[in-house]
Amino acid sequence: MATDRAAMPQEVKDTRKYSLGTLLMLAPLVVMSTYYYGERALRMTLISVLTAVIAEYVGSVFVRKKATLADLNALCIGVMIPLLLPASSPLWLPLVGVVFAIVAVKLPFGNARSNMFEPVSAAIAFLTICSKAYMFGYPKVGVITYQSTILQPDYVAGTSLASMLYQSNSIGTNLISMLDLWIGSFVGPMGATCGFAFLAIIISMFFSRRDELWATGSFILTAALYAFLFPRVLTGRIVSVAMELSAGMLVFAAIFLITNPAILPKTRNGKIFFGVFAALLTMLMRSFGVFEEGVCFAVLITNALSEQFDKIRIPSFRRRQPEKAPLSDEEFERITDASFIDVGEAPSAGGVGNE
Amino acid sequence: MNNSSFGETFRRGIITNNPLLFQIMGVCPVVAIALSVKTAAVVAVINALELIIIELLSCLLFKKLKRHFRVLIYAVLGFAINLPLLAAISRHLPDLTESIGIFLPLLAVNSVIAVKCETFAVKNTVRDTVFDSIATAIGYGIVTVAVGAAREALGSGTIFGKPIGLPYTAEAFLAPLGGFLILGFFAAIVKGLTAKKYSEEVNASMLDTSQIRMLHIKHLKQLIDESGDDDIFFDDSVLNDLEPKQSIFRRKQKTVAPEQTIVIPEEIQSFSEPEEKEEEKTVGYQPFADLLKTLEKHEPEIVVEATEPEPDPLELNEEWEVRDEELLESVEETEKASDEQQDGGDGQ
Repeated sequence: MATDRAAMPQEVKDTRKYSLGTLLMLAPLVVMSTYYYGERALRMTLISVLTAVIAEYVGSVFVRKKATLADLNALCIGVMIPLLLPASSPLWLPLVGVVFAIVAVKLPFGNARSNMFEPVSAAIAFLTICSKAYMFGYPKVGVITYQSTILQPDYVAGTSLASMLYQSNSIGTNLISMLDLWIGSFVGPMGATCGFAFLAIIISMFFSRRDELWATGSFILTAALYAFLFPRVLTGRIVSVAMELSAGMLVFAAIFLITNPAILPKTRNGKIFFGVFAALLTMLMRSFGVFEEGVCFAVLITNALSEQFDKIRIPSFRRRQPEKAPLSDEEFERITDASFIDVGEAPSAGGVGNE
Repeated sequence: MNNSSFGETFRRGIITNNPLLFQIMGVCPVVAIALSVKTAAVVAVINALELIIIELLSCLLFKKLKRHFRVLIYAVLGFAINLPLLAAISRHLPDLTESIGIFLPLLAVNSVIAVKCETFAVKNTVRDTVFDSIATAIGYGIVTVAVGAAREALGSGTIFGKPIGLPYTAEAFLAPLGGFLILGFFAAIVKGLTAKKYSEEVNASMLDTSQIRMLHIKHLKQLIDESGDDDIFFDDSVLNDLEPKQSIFRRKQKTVAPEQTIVIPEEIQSFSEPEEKEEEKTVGYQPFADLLKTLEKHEPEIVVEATEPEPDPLELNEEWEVRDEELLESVEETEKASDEQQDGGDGQ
């Protein structure tokens, strides 16, 4: 590996660095999922990481490319997908998702630097359409055992926040406190519940990925504003904001899915509007859509429009500096060396140089 | 295109100019209702009937009509053929009519028919038109049935209604997104297999996705040029990352264009000229292209520059002169022919 690393082109090194950062940011979520759901969470993560590596290798052979495992992007995909699934999902569910993400979404467009759609959100959307029952059949926290899937007798179903919101139920009636929302002790995706972990990740992003934070921040703020203005529960606007933000995969998507550097717009305004648009779509899909969680679809639609956000220009209200008047001939001669200027009539030699 | 053999037309219609895979026409019914081999076959047969009949009629009768009227007539004819077929299907295959919905009637205004009639049938002889319509219909049919079979296998785990025992079936393949995905993969596979052999034809009929990204880069560069630093927050180095380096859809770089001015080093002039083949003679200056290709293989160090003073290739030596006269004649002939064609087209 050491010799390989020396021969790597600079882009691959950059992507590798970025992926290592992403893996570091994902680490607390993996720890929390293992804390809540035990060995099974780790097992799912391991299986999907292995699948990702194998799929990337085999797929790149079919595309007749050099395997792009060195940039570690496949590992990120492999870790992210199981974190967004319920802990009770059968073990082949992350496997199908990872294979779809890499073979059908990532590899056709090349490598991590030429993504057109975020592979993780595409995989989650695919699984949502294919097997809705498994995707939204969340188990109760801590009651999971090795074999519990929906079909097993020891499976204890829980009600996720997203489905509560879908039916306009508040957390007050379901005995969940605000502290529970922060430490993530409520029913939901395996690794996308813990508020404190997300807060820590966002703070770390402030130091390492400030550019991406524009999209993340605008996404979360817009979602919060929407939840404040149009609450779906009757117990108050603050509760609505707290529930909407912690339900489903919203903050996870804000941090990891919409900030794919290959897709994100390049200008600051573009990033902000990218986040705003994705958040509005997400909240509209939650309110009026078929599924209780629609972040993945919103991210995909926004990805398709990504290049358009660079064209948005806000007229700046700052006073612009007046344009300088064109130089007079004397100034022009003083600044420039006359010998280099090729005009029809040559200036008198030495006149300028002696000054 | 004129007087081309049936084999060549057949290859064009099925592989290099396939309406579904490369020209992306008539996608709607395939994506919407080709959920099984049965429905896909129905779509393919109806499309083939309409295509062959309408293309033949437009070649025989409508050559002197104006374009606006022709397109209207295609739609009317399409429904005239489509309606009795629909009636027959609803009588004999009542199960199909529910699943097919609006999309089978919509085949009457299929884009394949309009485009093929306008670009080919109106401008060519009856024989070529018949060949082309049959080849296109077969190409469309094969891809449709293949997509239907793949979706039936992956989406519902059966083929011809019999289970094949797949461990996992994904319902998403029964939705339109599955149709698009499978069509895209088929196109990629067929292009990957044929790109080397028929690279020029395939590239000409292919939608080039890297152009989209290049447009984006162009726009960003424009942004940098136009506005001050206050409004934009990124480095120029971002643009380097954007350029599609490893995308598999990148178009192959063409060999040096024959019109380019070329300075020939002395070492190359002693190069023996390849034997003449009448088939490969084209409008461009072929011997130079061949020479450059062989040089690129053997001596990569020699740089061919495109710089100012253009040495007249006619005056190099005798061999070149002879070739050039023939080429000039052929060029003049083709130009005349194309002028006549354009004049004729304008006159209509």
